[in-house]
Amino acid sequence: MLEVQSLDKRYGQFQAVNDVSFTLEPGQIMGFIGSNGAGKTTTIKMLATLLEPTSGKATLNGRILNSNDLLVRKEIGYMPDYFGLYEDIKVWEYLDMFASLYGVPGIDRPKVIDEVLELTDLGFKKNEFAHSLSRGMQQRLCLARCLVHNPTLLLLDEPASGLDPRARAELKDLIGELGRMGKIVIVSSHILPELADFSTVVGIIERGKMLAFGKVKDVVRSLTPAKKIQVRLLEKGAEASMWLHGKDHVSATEFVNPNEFRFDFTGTPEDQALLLKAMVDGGFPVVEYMDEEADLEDLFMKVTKGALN
Amino acid sequence: MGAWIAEQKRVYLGNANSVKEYRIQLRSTKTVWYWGVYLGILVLVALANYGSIGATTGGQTAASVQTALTTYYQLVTGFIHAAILLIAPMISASAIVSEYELRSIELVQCSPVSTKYFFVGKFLSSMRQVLLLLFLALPIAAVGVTLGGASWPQIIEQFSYIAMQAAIFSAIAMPLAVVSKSIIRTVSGVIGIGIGFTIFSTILVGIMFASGGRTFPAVTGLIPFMSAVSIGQSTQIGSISVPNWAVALLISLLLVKVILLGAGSALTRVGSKETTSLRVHALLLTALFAVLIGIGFSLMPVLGTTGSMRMRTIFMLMCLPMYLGVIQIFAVTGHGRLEERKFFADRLFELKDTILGRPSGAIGYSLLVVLLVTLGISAPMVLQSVVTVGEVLPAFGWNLSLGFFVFSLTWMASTFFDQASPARRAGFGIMMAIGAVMHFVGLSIDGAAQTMESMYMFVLNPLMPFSNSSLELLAKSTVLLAGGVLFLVIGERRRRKNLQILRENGYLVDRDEIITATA
Repeated sequence: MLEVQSLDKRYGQFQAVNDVSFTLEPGQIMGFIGSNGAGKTTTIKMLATLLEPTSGKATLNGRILNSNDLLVRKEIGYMPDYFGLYEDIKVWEYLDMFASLYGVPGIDRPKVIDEVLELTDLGFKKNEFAHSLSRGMQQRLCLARCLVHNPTLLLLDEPASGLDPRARAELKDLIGELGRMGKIVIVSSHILPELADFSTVVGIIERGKMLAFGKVKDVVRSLTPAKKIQVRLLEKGAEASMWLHGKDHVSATEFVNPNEFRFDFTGTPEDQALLLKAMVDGGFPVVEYMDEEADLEDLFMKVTKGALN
Repeated sequence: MGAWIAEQKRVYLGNANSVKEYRIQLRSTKTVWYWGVYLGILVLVALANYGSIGATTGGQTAASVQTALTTYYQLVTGFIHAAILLIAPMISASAIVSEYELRSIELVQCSPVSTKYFFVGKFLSSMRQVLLLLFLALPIAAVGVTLGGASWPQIIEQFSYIAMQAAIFSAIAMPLAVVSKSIIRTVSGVIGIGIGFTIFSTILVGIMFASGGRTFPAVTGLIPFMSAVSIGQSTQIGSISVPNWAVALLISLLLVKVILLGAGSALTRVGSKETTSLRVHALLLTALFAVLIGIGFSLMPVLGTTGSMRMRTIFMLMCLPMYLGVIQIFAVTGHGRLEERKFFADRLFELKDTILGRPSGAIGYSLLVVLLVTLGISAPMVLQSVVTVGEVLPAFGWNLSLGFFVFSLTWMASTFFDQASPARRAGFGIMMAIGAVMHFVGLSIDGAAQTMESMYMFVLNPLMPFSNSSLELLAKSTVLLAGGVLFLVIGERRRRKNLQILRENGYLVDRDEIITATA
């Protein structure tokens, strides 16, 4: 289990990370969302023991993540937002080097390398030079590097940046698979749709402060008490909108076209059903009446609006 | 014990960094080109010199031909020597700087290996290249054997000295590369240090000869371009005659270890166990190195005599090696106004920081260095009764004053810079300038110095421990102390003012403030 408690990082007067706390269980994948400079990378670097927190601590299965504890690093796989590949090195040699650095015995390394190459679908490139790989493959190779020592915690900083849509899709599948393998995965990104598919929890950070954290649905529910309901009618769109105005739990009507509009609704599902019945009984020809789920992007825009202003 | 052996095996034999470097060093076509050019130039130099022998041997005696052949051998090995000393730091620097350029250093830093592991890996791979280059040059130098200018044992010993010097140069390049992150600046720095070391050690050897020494000390083998004179010589330790190359090997290994520890310290963060360990190791090895120097000095015949020559020699022997400690004082004292906590001076002194690596530990560390250098050198001489405690005390005073002076100077210089590196360079530059100015003042007074007693360029310079009497040395110590106090007062005023300005701008500058504010 990863427990982050009141993590702070300060550079002079600049507070890069401010009182960040969260807990992750094995198998959870956290989408770490924030705009550029929000504090994602600083937080990840502190968890990777590359930066020393000004205060606060993070523990992995009860062990403090500290640069002075070399052994705790064996539990961490860190993939930064750049490749850091050496020149003139072959794929297997690159993995062999990091397996050796992480203390994988020499006798086990060939097997481990084959396994991570298979997992990342790079087995056929084993004897190629790392620099000759495509960007997507290099990204997968970096992920393979993080996996050679079978870490408990994976820290992936902007793993999909610069990848084409196909490579992104493959990476998403791979991260999902890692979660199913029981690893704790933190994936940072400012490209939100890519996180939505596989994140089991989401953390939104802005100006160093964690503005929201929890399961995606819970966060959505807590941050958007008023759900959006979209209504489409055969006719009488304007009249229906007027009719709705002033009804309990209804606010902020917004037209999509003359016979289609959406409104905010704060009532229970029962209230929602009663409202539909009343509309139909009132003679409005309702064709569609459905909830509109808030996505991560809406959530992010909503949460960070206050922080940015 | 088993775990320790396994760890040593992992660090020195199965080091992942060196294995990686081995794999890629010989792979690129660039390497083939470099080696081709290196060999080509060596052959050209050899042929050019061989041609000159042929041109001068006509009608000459066998003895002059022999001299010409020896000169040929020395010129060729001299060129190999120069090439290796230039290439060795380049290889080391490139291995470190490329880690920064490729940004792979972070990946290594967050792996479960120590900085020692990292630097040993880089050092071993660099030395492997250097040894390969030396091996390639061996046939060209061996022409000297065929022609009769040198023997195989001479060549082997000479090449061993070149390898030892290359090892020291490679090691020096590592901390410089970590700090400068530039190959050119690193190599320039290594050359500068090499020149400084050559001047410093040549002076030491000169003093030993002037003081009655009859053989070249082992350290001569480590002085660039002077190692040839150490070939076949030995050092008397008690009743045992130890070959110079063996002592030189021991010294070079110690030097490499201390320098690599310094590199490790530059890469680790404040308060880490590694920094503490590295500092303790550096202090212990400084002491050991000083003891070795002291053992060497205690064998000198001049210490068995009486008079001013004896006193002057004692001061020189006790004080000049202090410059080995001074280098460390620059390194630990230099700090910056706006840097991370490791280099940020939020206070002047804190005892526990002595081995933690913060600037506020610099006074304590400097004092320890002074004590260890002085005690390490004087203890063997006092124990063997070649000097008395009373005779070494003035030198101890000068060492202490110099240590304090360098500390204060660097402390003051640091208040003018945002970062530690330029502060260190400024401190060093100011000290060199003071030394140079005093030298020329002395020179202008002295004109052409005729006797040892009238060499005012040394006598007047407080940074030089050349003194004819205890009184003179005490006067110099007083000047250094006064200068040190002045610099410290200015430095402290400026540091506190800087902190005040930062506070007014909303910065938290004191470690206690930071902890309280974020608790």
